[in-house]
Amino acid sequence: MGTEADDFDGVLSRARSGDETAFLRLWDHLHPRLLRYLRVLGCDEADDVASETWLQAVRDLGRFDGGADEFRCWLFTIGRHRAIDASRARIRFRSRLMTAAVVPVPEPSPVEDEVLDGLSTRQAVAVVAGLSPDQAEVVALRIIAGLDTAAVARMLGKSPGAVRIALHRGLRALSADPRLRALEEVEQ
Amino acid sequence: MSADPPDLTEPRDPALGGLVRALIADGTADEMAGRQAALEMFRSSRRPRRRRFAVSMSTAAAALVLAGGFAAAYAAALPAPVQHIAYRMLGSIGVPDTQRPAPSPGAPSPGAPRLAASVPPRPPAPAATACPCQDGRPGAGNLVLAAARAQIVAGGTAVLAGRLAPGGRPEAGVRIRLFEHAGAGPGWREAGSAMTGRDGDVTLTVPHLTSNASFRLAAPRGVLSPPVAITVLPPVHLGLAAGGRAGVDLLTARAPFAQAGDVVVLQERSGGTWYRIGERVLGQDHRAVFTVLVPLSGQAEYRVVLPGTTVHGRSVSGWVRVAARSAQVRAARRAPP
Repeated sequence: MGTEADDFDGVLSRARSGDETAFLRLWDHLHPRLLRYLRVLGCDEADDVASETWLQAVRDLGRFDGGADEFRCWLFTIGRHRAIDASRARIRFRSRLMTAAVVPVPEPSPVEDEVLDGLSTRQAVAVVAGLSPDQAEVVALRIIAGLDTAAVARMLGKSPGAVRIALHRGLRALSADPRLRALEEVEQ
Repeated sequence: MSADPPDLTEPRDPALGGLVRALIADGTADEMAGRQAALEMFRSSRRPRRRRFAVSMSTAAAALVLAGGFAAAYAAALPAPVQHIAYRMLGSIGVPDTQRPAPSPGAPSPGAPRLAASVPPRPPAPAATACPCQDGRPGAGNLVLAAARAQIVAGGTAVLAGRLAPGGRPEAGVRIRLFEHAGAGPGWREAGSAMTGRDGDVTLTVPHLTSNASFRLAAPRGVLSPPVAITVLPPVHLGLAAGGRAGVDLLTARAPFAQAGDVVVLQERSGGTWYRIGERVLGQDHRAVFTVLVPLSGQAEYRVVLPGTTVHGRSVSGWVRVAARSAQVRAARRAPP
Protein backbone atom coordinates (compact mmCIF):
# COMPACT_ATOMS: atom_id res chain seq x y z
CA MET A 1 0.00 0.00 0.00
CA GLY A 2 1.45 3.31 -1.03
CA THR A 3 1.92 6.10 1.45
CA GLU A 4 2.01 9.85 1.01
CA ALA A 5 5.77 9.73 1.25
CA ASP A 6 5.82 7.11 -1.53
CA ASP A 7 3.59 9.40 -3.60
CA PHE A 8 5.94 12.30 -2.99
CA ASP A 9 8.88 10.12 -3.99
CA GLY A 10 7.12 9.13 -7.21
CA VAL A 11 6.32 12.71 -8.10
CA LEU A 12 9.89 13.70 -7.39
CA SER A 13 11.19 10.92 -9.58
CA ARG A 14 8.97 11.96 -12.49
CA ALA A 15 9.97 15.58 -12.08
CA ARG A 16 13.61 14.59 -12.30
CA SER A 17 12.79 12.86 -15.58
CA GLY A 18 11.37 16.10 -16.96
CA ASP A 19 7.67 15.55 -16.27
CA GLU A 20 6.15 19.04 -16.15
CA THR A 21 3.01 17.94 -14.32
CA ALA A 22 5.10 16.35 -11.61
CA PHE A 23 7.24 19.44 -11.30
CA LEU A 24 4.15 21.60 -10.89
CA ARG A 25 2.89 19.32 -8.13
CA LEU A 26 6.17 19.77 -6.32
CA TRP A 27 6.05 23.52 -6.86
CA ASP A 28 2.40 23.83 -5.81
CA HIS A 29 3.12 22.03 -2.57
CA LEU A 30 6.46 23.51 -1.62
CA HIS A 31 6.56 27.02 -3.06
CA PRO A 32 3.99 28.58 -0.71
CA ARG A 33 5.81 27.04 2.23
CA LEU A 34 9.16 28.26 0.97
CA LEU A 35 7.76 31.79 0.72
CA ARG A 36 6.37 31.61 4.26
CA TYR A 37 9.67 30.30 5.62
CA LEU A 38 11.56 33.13 3.94
CA ARG A 39 9.10 35.68 5.35
CA VAL A 40 9.53 34.27 8.84
CA LEU A 41 13.25 34.81 8.38
CA GLY A 42 12.54 38.46 7.63
CA CYS A 43 13.63 38.24 4.01
CA ASP A 44 12.41 41.43 2.35
CA GLU A 45 12.50 40.02 -1.17
CA ALA A 46 10.96 36.63 -0.44
CA ASP A 47 9.48 36.28 -3.93
CA ASP A 48 12.79 36.99 -5.63
CA VAL A 49 14.72 34.74 -3.28
CA ALA A 50 12.21 31.92 -3.77
CA SER A 51 12.54 32.24 -7.54
CA GLU A 52 16.33 32.07 -7.26
CA THR A 53 15.95 29.02 -5.05
CA TRP A 54 13.82 27.20 -7.60
CA LEU A 55 16.16 28.22 -10.39
CA GLN A 56 19.07 26.55 -8.62
CA ALA A 57 16.96 23.54 -7.64
CA VAL A 58 15.76 22.99 -11.21
CA ARG A 59 19.26 23.43 -12.58
CA ASP A 60 20.69 20.85 -10.17
CA LEU A 61 17.69 18.52 -10.06
CA GLY A 62 19.37 15.97 -12.29
CA ARG A 63 22.22 15.65 -9.82
CA PHE A 64 19.98 15.44 -6.76
CA ASP A 65 19.91 11.98 -5.24
CA GLY A 66 17.42 11.30 -2.48
CA GLY A 67 13.81 10.95 -1.50
CA ALA A 68 11.04 13.27 -0.45
CA ASP A 69 12.48 14.26 2.92
CA GLU A 70 15.91 14.89 1.49
CA PHE A 71 14.41 17.01 -1.28
CA ARG A 72 12.55 19.19 1.20
CA CYS A 73 15.65 19.67 3.25
CA TRP A 74 17.71 20.38 0.12
CA LEU A 75 15.24 22.94 -1.21
CA PHE A 76 14.92 24.83 2.06
CA THR A 77 18.67 24.75 2.56
CA ILE A 78 19.09 26.39 -0.84
CA GLY A 79 16.46 28.93 0.15
CA ARG A 80 18.24 29.70 3.40
CA HIS A 81 21.55 30.21 1.60
CA ARG A 82 19.92 32.44 -1.03
CA ALA A 83 18.31 34.48 1.75
CA ILE A 84 21.66 34.94 3.46
CA ASP A 85 23.18 35.98 0.13
CA ALA A 86 20.38 38.49 -0.34
CA SER A 87 20.92 39.89 3.12
CA ARG A 88 24.60 40.37 2.49
CA ALA A 89 23.89 42.06 -0.78
CA ARG A 90 21.16 44.35 0.43
CA ILE A 91 21.87 44.67 4.13
CA ARG A 92 18.21 44.47 4.90
CA PHE A 93 18.11 41.11 6.53
CA ARG A 94 17.13 41.64 10.11
CA SER A 95 19.74 39.43 11.70
CA ARG A 96 17.30 36.64 12.22
CA LEU A 97 19.65 33.83 11.33
CA MET A 98 21.30 33.48 14.69
CA THR A 99 22.44 30.56 16.75
CA ALA A 100 19.97 29.48 19.37
CA ALA A 101 20.85 29.83 23.00
CA VAL A 102 20.56 26.38 24.52
CA VAL A 103 18.63 26.82 27.74
CA PRO A 104 16.73 23.91 29.26
CA VAL A 105 13.07 24.71 29.71
CA PRO A 106 10.19 22.77 31.14
CA GLU A 107 7.53 21.23 28.93
CA PRO A 108 4.97 23.71 27.59
CA SER A 109 2.16 24.22 30.03
CA PRO A 110 -1.41 23.59 28.94
CA VAL A 111 -3.24 26.64 27.67
CA GLU A 112 -6.90 27.36 27.30
CA ASP A 113 -8.82 25.68 24.52
CA GLU A 114 -8.79 28.09 21.62
CA VAL A 115 -9.80 27.77 17.99
CA LEU A 116 -8.18 30.10 15.54
CA ASP A 117 -10.07 29.41 12.34
CA GLY A 118 -10.13 33.09 11.47
CA LEU A 119 -6.38 33.46 11.31
CA SER A 120 -5.05 34.12 7.83
CA THR A 121 -1.82 32.61 6.58
CA ARG A 122 -0.10 35.98 6.42
CA GLN A 123 -1.15 36.83 9.94
CA ALA A 124 0.05 33.44 11.13
CA VAL A 125 3.42 33.96 9.43
CA ALA A 126 3.67 37.39 11.06
CA VAL A 127 2.96 35.89 14.46
CA VAL A 128 5.70 33.28 14.04
CA ALA A 129 8.09 35.93 12.75
CA GLY A 130 7.55 37.78 16.03
CA LEU A 131 9.28 35.02 17.98
CA SER A 132 12.96 35.23 18.79
CA PRO A 133 15.01 34.52 15.65
CA ASP A 134 16.15 31.04 16.67
CA GLN A 135 12.69 29.95 17.78
CA ALA A 136 11.04 31.43 14.69
CA GLU A 137 13.32 29.57 12.32
CA VAL A 138 12.96 26.25 14.10
CA VAL A 139 9.18 26.58 14.24
CA ALA A 140 9.11 27.51 10.56
CA LEU A 141 11.29 24.60 9.49
CA ARG A 142 9.40 22.08 11.61
CA ILE A 143 5.85 23.24 10.84
CA ILE A 144 5.94 25.16 7.56
CA ALA A 145 8.73 23.24 5.81
CA GLY A 146 7.67 19.96 7.40
CA LEU A 147 11.20 18.86 8.26
CA ASP A 148 11.87 16.48 11.13
CA THR A 149 14.05 17.37 14.09
CA ALA A 150 17.12 15.61 12.78
CA ALA A 151 16.92 17.39 9.43
CA VAL A 152 16.48 20.79 11.08
CA ALA A 153 19.42 20.08 13.36
CA ARG A 154 21.65 19.21 10.40
CA MET A 155 20.48 22.22 8.46
CA LEU A 156 21.11 24.66 11.30
CA GLY A 157 24.22 22.98 12.63
CA LYS A 158 22.67 22.32 16.03
CA SER A 159 22.03 19.30 18.15
CA PRO A 160 18.60 17.67 17.97
CA GLY A 161 18.13 18.54 21.63
CA ALA A 162 18.72 22.21 20.97
CA VAL A 163 16.18 22.11 18.15
CA ARG A 164 13.57 20.48 20.40
CA ILE A 165 14.13 23.07 23.08
CA ALA A 166 13.85 25.95 20.67
CA LEU A 167 10.67 24.42 19.26
CA HIS A 168 9.10 23.99 22.69
CA ARG A 169 9.97 27.51 23.69
CA GLY A 170 8.57 28.84 20.45
CA LEU A 171 5.32 26.91 20.71
CA ARG A 172 4.88 27.94 24.29
CA ALA A 173 5.38 31.58 23.36
CA LEU A 174 2.85 31.22 20.56
CA SER A 175 0.32 29.66 22.91
CA ALA A 176 0.68 32.62 25.23
CA ASP A 177 0.55 35.28 22.51
CA PRO A 178 -2.12 37.72 23.75
CA ARG A 179 -2.98 38.74 20.18
CA LEU A 180 -4.12 35.24 19.32
CA ARG A 181 -6.29 35.11 22.41
CA ALA A 182 -7.73 38.53 21.71
CA LEU A 183 -8.40 37.63 18.09
CA GLU A 184 -10.29 34.56 19.16
CA GLU A 185 -12.34 36.49 21.71
CA VAL A 186 -13.27 39.14 19.19
CA GLU A 187 -14.27 36.66 16.50
CA GLN A 188 -16.39 34.53 18.81
CA MET B 1 0.36 15.80 -1.69
CA SER B 2 1.68 15.96 1.83
CA ALA B 3 4.63 14.45 3.59
CA ASP B 4 4.52 16.50 6.75
CA PRO B 5 5.67 14.90 9.98
CA PRO B 6 2.43 13.99 11.72
CA ASP B 7 3.28 15.19 15.21
CA LEU B 8 3.07 18.92 14.51
CA THR B 9 0.32 19.16 11.89
CA GLU B 10 -2.24 18.28 14.57
CA PRO B 11 -0.83 19.67 17.79
CA ARG B 12 -2.14 18.34 21.07
CA ASP B 13 -2.50 21.91 22.24
CA PRO B 14 -5.75 23.12 20.66
CA ALA B 15 -4.64 26.72 20.99
CA LEU B 16 -2.08 26.13 18.28
CA GLY B 17 -4.39 24.27 15.94
CA GLY B 18 -5.62 27.29 14.04
CA LEU B 19 -2.13 28.73 13.79
CA VAL B 20 -0.70 25.52 12.37
CA ARG B 21 -3.59 25.13 9.91
CA ALA B 22 -2.98 28.64 8.65
CA LEU B 23 0.78 28.04 8.33
CA ILE B 24 0.41 24.88 6.25
CA ALA B 25 -2.68 25.90 4.29
CA ASP B 26 -2.68 25.57 0.52
CA GLY B 27 -1.02 28.40 -1.36
CA THR B 28 -2.96 31.62 -1.74
CA ALA B 29 -3.46 33.28 -5.10
CA ASP B 30 -0.65 35.69 -4.31
CA GLU B 31 1.73 32.89 -3.43
CA MET B 32 0.86 30.94 -6.57
CA ALA B 33 1.26 33.92 -8.88
CA GLY B 34 4.65 32.74 -10.16
CA ARG B 35 3.44 29.28 -11.22
CA GLN B 36 3.58 29.88 -14.95
CA ALA B 37 7.00 31.50 -14.71
CA ALA B 38 8.25 28.51 -12.73
CA LEU B 39 6.95 26.15 -15.39
CA GLU B 40 8.68 28.16 -18.13
CA MET B 41 11.89 28.02 -16.12
CA PHE B 42 11.54 24.25 -15.79
CA ARG B 43 10.89 23.89 -19.52
CA SER B 44 13.83 26.05 -20.49
CA SER B 45 16.12 24.04 -18.24
CA ARG B 46 15.14 20.91 -20.17
CA ARG B 47 15.66 22.31 -23.66
CA PRO B 48 18.85 21.56 -25.57
CA ARG B 49 21.00 24.64 -25.59
CA ARG B 50 21.81 26.28 -28.91
CA ARG B 51 22.48 29.60 -27.39
CA ARG B 52 24.43 31.44 -30.06
CA PHE B 53 21.96 30.52 -32.76
CA ALA B 54 19.02 31.35 -30.55
CA VAL B 55 20.45 34.70 -29.61
CA SER B 56 21.22 35.61 -33.18
CA MET B 57 17.77 34.53 -34.34
CA SER B 58 16.01 36.39 -31.57
CA THR B 59 18.11 39.47 -32.20
CA ALA B 60 17.29 39.36 -35.90
CA ALA B 61 13.61 38.83 -35.16
CA ALA B 62 13.59 41.70 -32.72
CA ALA B 63 15.30 43.93 -35.27
CA LEU B 64 12.72 43.00 -37.90
CA VAL B 65 9.84 43.56 -35.52
CA LEU B 66 11.29 46.86 -34.41
CA ALA B 67 11.89 48.06 -37.95
CA GLY B 68 8.43 47.07 -39.08
CA GLY B 69 6.92 48.39 -35.87
CA PHE B 70 8.56 51.79 -36.25
CA ALA B 71 7.29 52.09 -39.80
CA ALA B 72 3.79 51.03 -38.83
CA ALA B 73 3.81 53.31 -35.81
CA TYR B 74 4.84 56.34 -37.86
CA ALA B 75 2.08 55.52 -40.30
CA ALA B 76 -0.36 55.10 -37.42
CA ALA B 77 -1.17 51.73 -38.96
CA LEU B 78 -0.99 49.68 -35.77
CA PRO B 79 -4.06 48.53 -33.87
CA ALA B 80 -5.22 51.34 -31.62
CA PRO B 81 -3.96 49.97 -28.28
CA VAL B 82 -0.59 49.09 -29.79
CA GLN B 83 -0.40 52.47 -31.48
CA HIS B 84 -1.05 54.13 -28.14
CA ILE B 85 1.79 52.18 -26.54
CA ALA B 86 4.05 53.16 -29.43
CA TYR B 87 3.02 56.78 -28.91
CA ARG B 88 3.89 56.61 -25.22
CA MET B 89 7.30 55.16 -26.02
CA LEU B 90 8.10 57.08 -29.17
CA GLY B 91 5.84 60.10 -29.11
CA SER B 92 8.80 62.41 -28.63
CA ILE B 93 10.12 61.45 -32.07
CA GLY B 94 6.88 61.92 -33.88
CA VAL B 95 4.85 58.74 -33.54
CA PRO B 96 1.18 59.75 -33.46
CA ASP B 97 -1.42 58.54 -30.95
CA THR B 98 -4.68 57.21 -32.29
CA GLN B 99 -6.25 57.09 -28.84
CA ARG B 100 -6.03 60.82 -28.40
CA PRO B 101 -9.55 62.23 -28.62
CA ALA B 102 -10.11 63.15 -32.24
CA PRO B 103 -13.04 64.53 -34.13
CA SER B 104 -15.26 61.78 -35.38
CA PRO B 105 -18.44 61.76 -37.35
CA GLY B 106 -20.34 60.74 -34.28
CA ALA B 107 -18.95 63.21 -31.80
CA PRO B 108 -20.37 66.68 -31.43
CA SER B 109 -17.98 69.17 -32.92
CA PRO B 110 -16.74 71.94 -30.66
CA GLY B 111 -18.76 75.06 -30.97
CA ALA B 112 -21.50 73.44 -32.97
CA PRO B 113 -24.96 74.27 -31.80
CA ARG B 114 -26.45 71.34 -29.99
CA LEU B 115 -29.52 70.61 -28.01
CA ALA B 116 -28.98 69.22 -24.57
CA ALA B 117 -31.65 67.33 -22.74
CA SER B 118 -31.57 66.22 -19.17
CA VAL B 119 -33.16 62.92 -18.41
CA PRO B 120 -35.50 63.55 -15.50
CA PRO B 121 -34.75 62.05 -12.10
CA ARG B 122 -35.03 58.31 -12.22
CA PRO B 123 -38.49 56.97 -11.60
CA PRO B 124 -38.96 53.51 -10.18
CA ALA B 125 -37.97 51.16 -12.98
CA PRO B 126 -40.89 50.92 -15.35
CA ALA B 127 -41.78 47.88 -17.34
CA ALA B 128 -38.94 47.01 -19.67
CA THR B 129 -38.79 46.59 -23.45
CA ALA B 130 -40.69 49.52 -24.74
CA CYS B 131 -37.59 49.77 -26.91
CA PRO B 132 -37.66 49.02 -30.61
CA CYS B 133 -34.24 47.51 -30.05
CA GLN B 134 -35.10 44.00 -31.13
CA ASP B 135 -36.62 44.85 -34.49
CA GLY B 136 -34.77 48.05 -35.24
CA ARG B 137 -32.07 48.52 -37.87
CA PRO B 138 -28.58 49.26 -36.62
CA GLY B 139 -27.75 52.66 -38.00
CA ALA B 140 -24.48 51.74 -39.70
CA GLY B 141 -23.19 55.21 -38.87
CA ASN B 142 -26.52 56.97 -39.35
CA LEU B 143 -27.05 57.29 -35.60
CA VAL B 144 -24.11 57.17 -33.25
CA LEU B 145 -23.73 57.55 -29.50
CA ALA B 146 -20.71 58.20 -27.27
CA ALA B 147 -20.29 58.59 -23.52
CA ALA B 148 -18.21 61.39 -22.06
CA ARG B 149 -16.83 58.90 -19.53
CA ALA B 150 -16.90 55.12 -19.68
CA GLN B 151 -16.70 54.98 -15.86
CA ILE B 152 -18.37 57.27 -13.35
CA VAL B 153 -18.59 57.36 -9.59
CA ALA B 154 -21.82 55.89 -8.27
CA GLY B 155 -24.48 58.54 -7.89
CA GLY B 156 -22.87 60.68 -10.58
CA THR B 157 -24.27 61.90 -13.86
CA ALA B 158 -23.64 60.17 -17.18
CA VAL B 159 -23.26 62.48 -20.16
CA LEU B 160 -24.08 60.99 -23.55
CA ALA B 161 -23.69 62.62 -26.94
CA GLY B 162 -25.30 61.40 -30.13
CA ARG B 163 -25.59 62.44 -33.75
CA LEU B 164 -28.14 61.62 -36.43
CA ALA B 165 -26.71 61.91 -39.92
CA PRO B 166 -28.19 59.41 -42.38
CA GLY B 167 -26.04 59.18 -45.44
CA GLY B 168 -23.67 61.69 -43.88
CA ARG B 169 -26.29 64.43 -43.84
CA PRO B 170 -27.21 65.73 -40.36
CA GLU B 171 -30.90 65.81 -39.59
CA ALA B 172 -32.15 68.56 -37.30
CA GLY B 173 -35.37 68.71 -35.35
CA VAL B 174 -35.80 64.96 -34.99
CA ARG B 175 -36.87 63.48 -31.68
CA ILE B 176 -34.30 60.96 -30.45
CA ARG B 177 -35.16 58.58 -27.66
CA LEU B 178 -32.58 57.24 -25.15
CA PHE B 179 -32.93 53.66 -23.94
CA GLU B 180 -31.17 52.17 -20.95
CA HIS B 181 -30.40 48.58 -20.02
CA ALA B 182 -29.33 48.29 -16.37
CA GLY B 183 -26.49 45.84 -15.70
CA ALA B 184 -28.64 43.40 -13.78
CA GLY B 185 -31.98 44.46 -15.22
CA PRO B 186 -34.28 42.46 -17.46
CA GLY B 187 -34.35 44.61 -20.59
CA TRP B 188 -34.35 48.03 -22.18
CA ARG B 189 -36.42 50.89 -20.87
CA GLU B 190 -36.85 54.42 -22.18
CA ALA B 191 -34.79 56.84 -20.13
CA GLY B 192 -35.44 60.14 -21.92
CA SER B 193 -35.58 61.94 -25.22
CA ALA B 194 -34.35 65.08 -26.96
CA MET B 195 -34.55 66.87 -30.31
CA THR B 196 -31.53 66.99 -32.58
CA GLY B 197 -29.88 70.35 -33.14
CA ARG B 198 -28.76 71.96 -36.38
CA ASP B 199 -25.90 69.51 -36.90
CA GLY B 200 -27.96 66.49 -35.94
CA ASP B 201 -26.37 66.55 -32.49
CA VAL B 202 -28.06 65.66 -29.25
CA THR B 203 -26.65 65.54 -25.72
CA LEU B 204 -28.39 63.72 -22.90
CA THR B 205 -27.52 63.51 -19.25
CA VAL B 206 -28.57 60.72 -16.93
CA PRO B 207 -28.35 61.81 -13.29
CA HIS B 208 -27.76 59.66 -10.23
CA LEU B 209 -26.53 56.55 -12.00
CA THR B 210 -25.97 53.87 -9.36
CA SER B 211 -25.46 50.71 -11.39
CA ASN B 212 -23.74 49.65 -14.60
CA ALA B 213 -25.85 50.36 -17.65
CA SER B 214 -25.83 50.26 -21.43
CA PHE B 215 -27.42 53.03 -23.46
CA ARG B 216 -28.51 53.39 -27.05
CA LEU B 217 -30.43 55.91 -29.08
CA ALA B 218 -33.45 55.29 -31.26
CA ALA B 219 -34.57 57.55 -34.11
CA PRO B 220 -37.78 57.28 -36.13
CA ARG B 221 -38.07 54.55 -38.75
CA GLY B 222 -36.34 52.09 -36.41
CA VAL B 223 -32.85 53.55 -36.71
CA LEU B 224 -30.71 52.54 -33.72
CA SER B 225 -27.27 53.46 -32.47
CA PRO B 226 -24.84 50.82 -31.25
CA PRO B 227 -25.03 50.46 -27.46
CA VAL B 228 -22.58 52.23 -25.16
CA ALA B 229 -21.72 50.77 -21.76
CA ILE B 230 -21.02 52.84 -18.65
CA THR B 231 -19.47 51.30 -15.54
CA VAL B 232 -20.39 52.67 -12.14
CA LEU B 233 -17.75 52.72 -9.39
CA PRO B 234 -19.17 52.67 -5.86
CA PRO B 235 -16.94 54.52 -3.35
CA VAL B 236 -15.61 52.24 -0.64
CA HIS B 237 -14.30 53.55 2.67
CA LEU B 238 -12.17 51.90 5.34
CA GLY B 239 -12.18 53.01 8.98
CA LEU B 240 -10.10 51.94 11.96
CA ALA B 241 -11.13 51.46 15.57
CA ALA B 242 -9.53 49.82 18.57
CA GLY B 243 -10.70 46.27 18.96
CA GLY B 244 -11.49 46.43 22.65
CA ARG B 245 -8.88 43.76 23.28
CA ALA B 246 -5.15 44.04 23.61
CA GLY B 247 -3.43 43.45 20.32
CA VAL B 248 -6.29 43.64 17.85
CA ASP B 249 -8.00 46.41 15.92
CA LEU B 250 -11.19 46.54 13.91
CA LEU B 251 -11.31 47.74 10.32
CA THR B 252 -14.75 48.68 9.05
CA ALA B 253 -15.38 48.71 5.30
CA ARG B 254 -18.33 50.78 4.12
CA ALA B 255 -19.68 50.95 0.57
CA PRO B 256 -23.04 52.77 0.52
CA PHE B 257 -23.68 52.21 -3.17
CA ALA B 258 -22.69 48.54 -3.19
CA GLN B 259 -25.24 45.86 -2.48
CA ALA B 260 -25.80 43.85 0.65
CA GLY B 261 -24.16 40.52 -0.05
CA ASP B 262 -21.32 41.97 -2.08
CA VAL B 263 -17.88 40.75 -1.05
CA VAL B 264 -15.12 43.10 0.06
CA VAL B 265 -11.51 41.92 0.19
CA LEU B 266 -9.04 43.16 2.79
CA GLN B 267 -5.48 43.58 1.56
CA GLU B 268 -2.24 44.31 3.38
CA ARG B 269 0.72 46.05 1.78
CA SER B 270 4.08 44.37 2.05
CA GLY B 271 7.16 45.38 0.09
CA GLY B 272 5.12 47.58 -2.22
CA THR B 273 2.68 44.80 -3.10
CA TRP B 274 -0.85 44.37 -1.81
CA TYR B 275 -1.65 40.90 -0.48
CA ARG B 276 -5.07 39.45 0.20
CA ILE B 277 -5.76 38.92 3.90
CA GLY B 278 -9.39 37.91 3.95
CA GLU B 279 -12.84 38.76 2.74
CA ARG B 280 -16.20 39.60 4.24
CA VAL B 281 -19.74 40.02 2.93
CA LEU B 282 -21.39 43.42 3.19
CA GLY B 283 -24.39 43.42 5.48
CA GLN B 284 -27.70 45.18 5.08
CA ASP B 285 -26.02 48.34 6.38
CA HIS B 286 -23.43 48.06 3.58
CA ARG B 287 -20.67 47.50 6.12
CA ALA B 288 -18.25 44.69 6.90
CA VAL B 289 -15.84 44.42 9.82
CA PHE B 290 -12.38 42.86 9.76
CA THR B 291 -10.28 42.02 12.79
CA VAL B 292 -6.53 42.53 12.38
CA LEU B 293 -3.56 42.01 14.61
CA VAL B 294 -1.71 45.10 15.77
CA PRO B 295 1.95 44.70 14.80
CA LEU B 296 4.37 44.35 17.66
CA SER B 297 6.61 46.90 16.00
CA GLY B 298 6.44 49.15 13.00
CA GLN B 299 3.16 49.48 11.16
CA ALA B 300 0.85 47.68 8.78
CA GLU B 301 -1.15 49.23 5.95
CA TYR B 302 -4.53 47.93 4.86
CA ARG B 303 -7.09 48.69 2.19
CA VAL B 304 -10.25 47.04 0.93
CA VAL B 305 -11.17 46.16 -2.63
CA LEU B 306 -14.74 45.85 -3.82
CA PRO B 307 -14.57 43.49 -6.82
CA GLY B 308 -16.60 44.33 -9.86
CA THR B 309 -19.97 42.69 -10.48
CA THR B 310 -22.62 42.95 -13.17
CA VAL B 311 -24.06 45.82 -11.13
CA HIS B 312 -20.93 47.88 -10.50
CA GLY B 313 -17.25 48.14 -11.31
CA ARG B 314 -14.23 47.47 -9.09
CA SER B 315 -13.40 50.01 -6.41
CA VAL B 316 -10.51 50.40 -4.01
CA SER B 317 -10.52 52.27 -0.72
CA GLY B 318 -7.84 54.56 0.57
CA TRP B 319 -5.38 52.84 2.85
CA VAL B 320 -5.34 52.84 6.60
CA ARG B 321 -2.27 52.43 8.75
CA VAL B 322 -2.29 50.33 11.90
CA ALA B 323 0.76 51.18 13.98
CA ALA B 324 2.34 49.43 16.92
CA ARG B 325 1.25 51.31 19.98
CA SER B 326 1.66 51.58 23.68
CA ALA B 327 -1.57 53.24 24.68
CA GLN B 328 -3.49 54.46 21.70
CA VAL B 329 -4.35 53.69 18.13
CA ARG B 330 -3.07 55.95 15.43
CA ALA B 331 -4.51 55.85 12.00
CA ALA B 332 -3.34 57.80 9.03
CA ARG B 333 -5.61 58.05 6.04
CA ARG B 334 -4.25 58.56 2.59
CA ALA B 335 -5.85 58.88 -0.79
CA PRO B 336 -6.09 55.73 -2.90
CA PRO B 337 -2.88 55.09 -4.85
